[in-house]
Amino acid sequence: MLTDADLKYLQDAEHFGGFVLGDRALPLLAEALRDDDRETLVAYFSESFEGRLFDNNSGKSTTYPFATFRSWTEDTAAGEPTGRDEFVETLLAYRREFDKTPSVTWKVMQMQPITRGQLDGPWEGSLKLRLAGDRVDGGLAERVIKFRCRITSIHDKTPEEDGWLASCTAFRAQYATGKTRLMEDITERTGIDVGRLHDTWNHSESPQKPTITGGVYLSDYNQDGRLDLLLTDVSGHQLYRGEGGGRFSDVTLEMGIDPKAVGIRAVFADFDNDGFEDLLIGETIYRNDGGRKFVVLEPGRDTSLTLGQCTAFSVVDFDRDGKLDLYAVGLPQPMTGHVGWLGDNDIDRNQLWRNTGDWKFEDVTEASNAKGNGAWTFAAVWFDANSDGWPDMMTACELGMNAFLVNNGDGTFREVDLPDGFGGFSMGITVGDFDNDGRPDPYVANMYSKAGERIVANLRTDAYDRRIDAKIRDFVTGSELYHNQGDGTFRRLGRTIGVSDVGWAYGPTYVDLNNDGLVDLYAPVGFQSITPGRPDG
Amino acid sequence: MAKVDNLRELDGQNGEFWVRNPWEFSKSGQNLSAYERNGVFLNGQSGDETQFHDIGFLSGADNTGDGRSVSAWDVTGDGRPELFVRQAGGGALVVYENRFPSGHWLKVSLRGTKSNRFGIGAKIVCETAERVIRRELYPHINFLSQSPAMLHLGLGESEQIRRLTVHWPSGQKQVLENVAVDRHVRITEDDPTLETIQAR
Repeated sequence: MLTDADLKYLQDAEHFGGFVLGDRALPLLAEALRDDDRETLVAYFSESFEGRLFDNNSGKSTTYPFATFRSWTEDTAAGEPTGRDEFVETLLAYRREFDKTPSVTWKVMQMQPITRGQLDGPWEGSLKLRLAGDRVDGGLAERVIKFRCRITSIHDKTPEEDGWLASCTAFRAQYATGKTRLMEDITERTGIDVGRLHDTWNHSESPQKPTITGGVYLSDYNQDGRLDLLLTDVSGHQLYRGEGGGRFSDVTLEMGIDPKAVGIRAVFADFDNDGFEDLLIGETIYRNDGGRKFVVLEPGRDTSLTLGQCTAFSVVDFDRDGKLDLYAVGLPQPMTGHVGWLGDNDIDRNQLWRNTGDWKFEDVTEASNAKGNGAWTFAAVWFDANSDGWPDMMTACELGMNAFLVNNGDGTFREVDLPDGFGGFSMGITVGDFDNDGRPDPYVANMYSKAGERIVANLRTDAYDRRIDAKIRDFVTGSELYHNQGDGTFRRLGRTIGVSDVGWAYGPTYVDLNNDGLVDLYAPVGFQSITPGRPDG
Repeated sequence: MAKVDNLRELDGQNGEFWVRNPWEFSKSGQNLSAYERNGVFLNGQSGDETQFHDIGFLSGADNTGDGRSVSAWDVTGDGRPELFVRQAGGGALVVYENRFPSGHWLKVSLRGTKSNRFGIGAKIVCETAERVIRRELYPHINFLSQSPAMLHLGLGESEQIRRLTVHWPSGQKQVLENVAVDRHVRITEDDPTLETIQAR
């Protein structure tokens, strides 16, 4: 357990490494670089500074019709060591590739006293430099460089002092250039009334803002070939009919949707096999009547399906009988037993409803062993994890371990342990086959805090038992891409290929943005933005 | 949480903060993972080598709002998927139109007869001159989001699909040869004809 002295040390280390260096000193360095102010910039570097940058022509270059990338990793040979003046000159040359004023940021990734406990000595850690903006010769560019670094000392006056940056060695970088922006915000032209949705940035009155406000669900509910859209929201749900050309019309009331139905979880699925997708919102069950109307079904009278409190829905034909089954995740259940770690206790469970036809469903959770585990399960995805033709299931749990259920093909599942450290602190999951090998690869969105990563790096390794310590350190590694090995096992790739370092992540998706047959990734991130330009956790 | 009396005084003027109890963070009024740019990663898989390029800035879809979920599908009819990004703050819904120079494409709706009507759980193998594309029709159903129960295939330079194989959840296998591209088609289980819903 942490002692008072531990807590004080962690706070002190974060005060100097995260706050003084990160929030006060580095912005000055960024400003000087942004303003192309050589004199101010060079003063922050110690006279004996040693730097190593990647050579422009090393690394790996990839060219697309719309963008060029050069990337350098730990495997790339570092460039020749340089002194202060040459290093600063190279940074300024990077800056001068941009027209007008680029965005320039320096961030602290990790920072520790070189001698543990010695806050007044030299520090070492890692920094991330990012320059992005319009290029002098037209087009766009972004350069990101991660450095291992040494700082001569950090104290409260460091931001006003000179010569504190002692060394910077690049260990990872990407330089991206393109002609024009490849996605354009067309929200205002869609006909969707976004103003009616809850936006916490427009509601400053409440100190406890809702962290979750609503969802977006796509379906061609009327089968006219044009995609339709449901927005659930704490301020009221909206159903839109697609008109083609990216335009939508509000049909909430005429289609029979109750805008105030409780709950923001929803799913479209054709439970009665009539070719029109039915709809669940919260605890309300709608039958899609030929795309003309959503008709409320009364549990107990019209259907044996009953929906209670849960986090999310998923659909699958788990027994391949031709009828879609419903999987509801995150049903609360009472705490039992001893809690050794956050979420060790299964404080929620999942529920599998087997569709037997004519809106009859039976709860087969126990019989099929589909309860899962974890705490605050946010999402469940179905995919054929082991290539046996039967749908398997993986969850994202906010706390506890993510569940992985393998389908036995006889109406039951077996729980399979995922490799140590797998999952947990997860807020979303999506599955796609990024390498087209026929084995779908889950991408799991995890919680992440920049301050958290720094603080954990300063935590002594014997403060907790090894299992807990490993989980705490795993917690700050960001999102994860699991490469399916084909036999129902997975290899973690996130940190090695750059898709983990996204921030505090929620439900992502695979999508082939450039239609090249390889699925790309979109990762929504950001937990709580209150005041721009102020320190961040 | 242990009570420690000798924690340092915070530099309030410069916004320093320290939240002792993580469960109270959302009430703290402080930034946590704030103004983070949504991530966009371009899949640069080449042979067995996996690489994703960070294309967030170049895409312009690197929104700094508090992102929660996303769904993708082509709604402008040009075969390039748009993004529907749902956020708790900073734009509750942001729709991004896709302007990537496009390769060819095919959208596939399935109609099961023995299998469930939308063919959920089906596997598709799409063979073009360029590559073999494998997809499972488990529509993206994630936290607070769902993409439609259809498949979208990016085909690059290929102007024709040599062979499209559907492995239906019923166990049935269906093979279609020489399929035209840049259209939305419907494949019905056990029906050799391919129905075009929309051609570009």
